[in-house]
Amino acid sequence: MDEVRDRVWRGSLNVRVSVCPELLLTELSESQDTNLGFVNIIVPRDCYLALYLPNIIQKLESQLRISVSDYYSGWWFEIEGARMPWNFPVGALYDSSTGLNPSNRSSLHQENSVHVWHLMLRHGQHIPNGVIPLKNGIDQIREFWMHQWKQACYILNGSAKQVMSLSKPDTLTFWQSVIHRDLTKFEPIRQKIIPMPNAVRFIPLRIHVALPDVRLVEPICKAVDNERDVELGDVLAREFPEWFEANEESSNIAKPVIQGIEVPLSALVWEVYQQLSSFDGFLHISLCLQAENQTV
Amino acid sequence: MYDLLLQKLKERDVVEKNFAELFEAAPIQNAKSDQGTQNQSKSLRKELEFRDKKIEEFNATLKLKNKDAERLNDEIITLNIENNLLQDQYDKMKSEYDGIVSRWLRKTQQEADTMNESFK
Repeated sequence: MDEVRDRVWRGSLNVRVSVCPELLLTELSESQDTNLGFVNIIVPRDCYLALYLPNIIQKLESQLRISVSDYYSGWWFEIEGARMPWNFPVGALYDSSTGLNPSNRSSLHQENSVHVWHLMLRHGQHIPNGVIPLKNGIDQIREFWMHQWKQACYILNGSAKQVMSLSKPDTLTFWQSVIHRDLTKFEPIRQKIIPMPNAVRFIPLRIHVALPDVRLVEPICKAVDNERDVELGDVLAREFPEWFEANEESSNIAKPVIQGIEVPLSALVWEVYQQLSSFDGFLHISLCLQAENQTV
Repeated sequence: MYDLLLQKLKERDVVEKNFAELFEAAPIQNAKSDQGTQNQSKSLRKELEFRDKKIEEFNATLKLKNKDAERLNDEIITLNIENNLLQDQYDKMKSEYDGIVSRWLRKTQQEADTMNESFK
């Protein structure tokens, strides 16, 4: 098995999910016990956060003042007061919402430091804008994920046939492999969808920008343009001319972060897609803006 | 490029997975199979939820009533002002009227006096 794919698949984050104090039983929220109202779990970078809702809520259920009738509907996550959509891979959300700068983080890392992502779990009738309401539990997540693959397949091949014509057991195995985190079952089916290098029409890219405002850019990107392999820097320079200058890596004020690592602008997009694309068929890139004194 | 990516992924994992054993590797569960079996306090929570809703409703009613009271208060103040104005106007009219009456009386007195004079 390809080691890069394996590492991408096994990448995980330490997450601490705290419950919004309003949801806790009054007795607990007023007590000084700091061991209440949160769970610490490991979440794979390549999956949806919403898949872990039942697990998290079940652990916290005894401390909640509301009776839980549905483990998906009405729940959402927040990070520092900002709502967190569930419909992107956890890793991509983490990289963009924290504005991750991998080289900075590595330099600050010490042997005894623990890396934790703090999230807040909230519940209410009115889900904030930008969060897709979950009405049909895990089935809805599965359908959403399949639609992502159909989109990705369409961008790659010009039709969604490769996904649509997957056999029933294959479709089931594909989803089960995500649930059970089994790369050996996931990879063969993924390979059926991804075309040969010379048959690629476009590459499914999603660029997450957190500053100055949160937005998602989905550029049109060919694998080969004018008989030249397209580099990551070409796409970014075209989409964000103010941040990236083609072929001048030194003066850029932003850098692309994929799967928690900094990828050089000279990397070929198709190659990066094959190695680092997420479990939903897209290559999620988040842009990390660096302060001027950090520019390398 | 492959080696570079691998190298960076390894570095990432060193940072992100340090002390990961302190965190629980939670399986993704299908909620349907685990729903609501062991929870004995469910009915109490339902009761609590019901009470919470009631409190919310009462709060809403209270808010509405407060607003009503405020509006009525405003109305009382407006009517008071209006009343004061009318009172002022009434006082003015009354003094004017008194003046006219006294003038008229004076005039008729004068007339009577002249008539009396002519008789003499």
